[in-house]
Amino acid sequence: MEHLTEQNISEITTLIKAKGVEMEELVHDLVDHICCMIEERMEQGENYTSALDKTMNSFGNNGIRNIQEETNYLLTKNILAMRKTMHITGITAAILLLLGSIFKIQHWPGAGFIYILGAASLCLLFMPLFLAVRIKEKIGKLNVVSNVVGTIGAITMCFGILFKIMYWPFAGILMNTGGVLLLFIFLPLYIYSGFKSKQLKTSTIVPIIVAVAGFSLMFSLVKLRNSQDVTDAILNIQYTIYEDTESTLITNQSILKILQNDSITAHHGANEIAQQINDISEDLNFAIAQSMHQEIPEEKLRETIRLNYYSISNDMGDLAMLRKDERGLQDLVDLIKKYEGLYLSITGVKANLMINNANLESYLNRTKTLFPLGIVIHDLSLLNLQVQRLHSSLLQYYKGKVS
Amino acid sequence: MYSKELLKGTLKTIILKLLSESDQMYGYQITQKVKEITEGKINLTEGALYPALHKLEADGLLSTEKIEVGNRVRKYYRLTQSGNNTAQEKVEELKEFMETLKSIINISPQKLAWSI
Repeated sequence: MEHLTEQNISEITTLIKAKGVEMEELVHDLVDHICCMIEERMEQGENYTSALDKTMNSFGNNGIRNIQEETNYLLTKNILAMRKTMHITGITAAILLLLGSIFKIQHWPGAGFIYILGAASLCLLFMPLFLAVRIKEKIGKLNVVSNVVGTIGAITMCFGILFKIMYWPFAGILMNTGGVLLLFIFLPLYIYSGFKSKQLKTSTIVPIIVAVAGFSLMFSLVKLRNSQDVTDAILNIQYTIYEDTESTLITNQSILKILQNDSITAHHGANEIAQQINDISEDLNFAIAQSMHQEIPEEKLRETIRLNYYSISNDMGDLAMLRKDERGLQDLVDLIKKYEGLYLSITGVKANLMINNANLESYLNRTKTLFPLGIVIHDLSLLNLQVQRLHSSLLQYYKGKVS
Repeated sequence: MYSKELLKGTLKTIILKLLSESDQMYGYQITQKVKEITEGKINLTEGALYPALHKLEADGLLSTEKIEVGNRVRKYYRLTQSGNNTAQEKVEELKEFMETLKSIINISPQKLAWSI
């Protein structure tokens, strides 16, 4: 039996591919099949060219292409329904997230709820379905692994962003975990499999570039804080307040000693209140710092809080933690009012301490309790400084009376 | 030659049955075999055969082996273990179906009228 030459076969292969057949396995099948048909004709005495023409014509215009379409249809029939659901949930999620952001920008109520719905349908429906469809489509262990890691990373990332928007805890951990999974595990696997299948073309490179660039931009956006100069300036103010308070307390201590030596006791009531104000405001500040950084051990936190760099934190917290019955913000406000009254009755001079009274009132009464608590630290420490200064003048007043 | 519609439901069974009777076959060989057995009454076209073969392979009923023949690659199809079982089931099912069909086709007009 006469075999077709290598040249004939490459011609037939080109012809089949030109008809639009892309599936490698199907090309193998069809090349062999058509060769067999040609050989049969040639055995009956036809020459190669005429046998090729007649064979190719017997398929009709779209016959060969239709074989691939039919094969594709049979292979994907099962996942068509799944894909349809995937599209619907994907579109729903996109619309909900878009709506949520419009509501958020307009400050309309319900933005959070819409965000949660959108993120849930994206993370819990769309992405798992997408993964399932991918796994059914693509065979190959490496691809399955990279797709699973990629999907888990994307879901974690997405929930992290939702948590960030909703000011829920652990947003940072979720976003960082998702980012690490995507950048350091999924992406290398994706690139590697791209190299391996020798398909590192535009279709592989472009998503990689978009992914890396997108991540960098997003991270810089999320991690964005005030500029370094502004931050330093605020920290300086905060540190000055702290230093001032410390030195005032030391001054007061030394005056107290003098008064003690002269057996004066009339100031004791005021002294006790000033001491309590100092204690409570320090405790509250510490509690706020602790709520923002649970991971820092208590001792270290006490050291760092003296620098009060928590006051520049953008992290949101719940004002409810200040509204406790004992030694809370209300007690502090009451004590300050009491001190003011006492000061007036002793010296006859009215002290206007609570210059940021409105702030304190709002911390106590506003219904939306989510708030950047760092600002509260600033208010409380400034207020304490003012009280201790005032107390200093009261002690001076007594000392003056003695001498 | 039978209509495409008639062939459609039995195509997989025909392929599985043929493969269960020989060790392995390639596509063209299957079409020729069908032509030979049925004396040309059933013409298994490429457009029906290859999609069905690929589907059966994806379902895990067939496995393939590529062998260099002449200057080209020839893909041989053979039954897997589960393909073997399915082939038997499918053939049994078809036999039963043909019996059932017979009982419908053989009903005489009188009998039909009476039963209505």
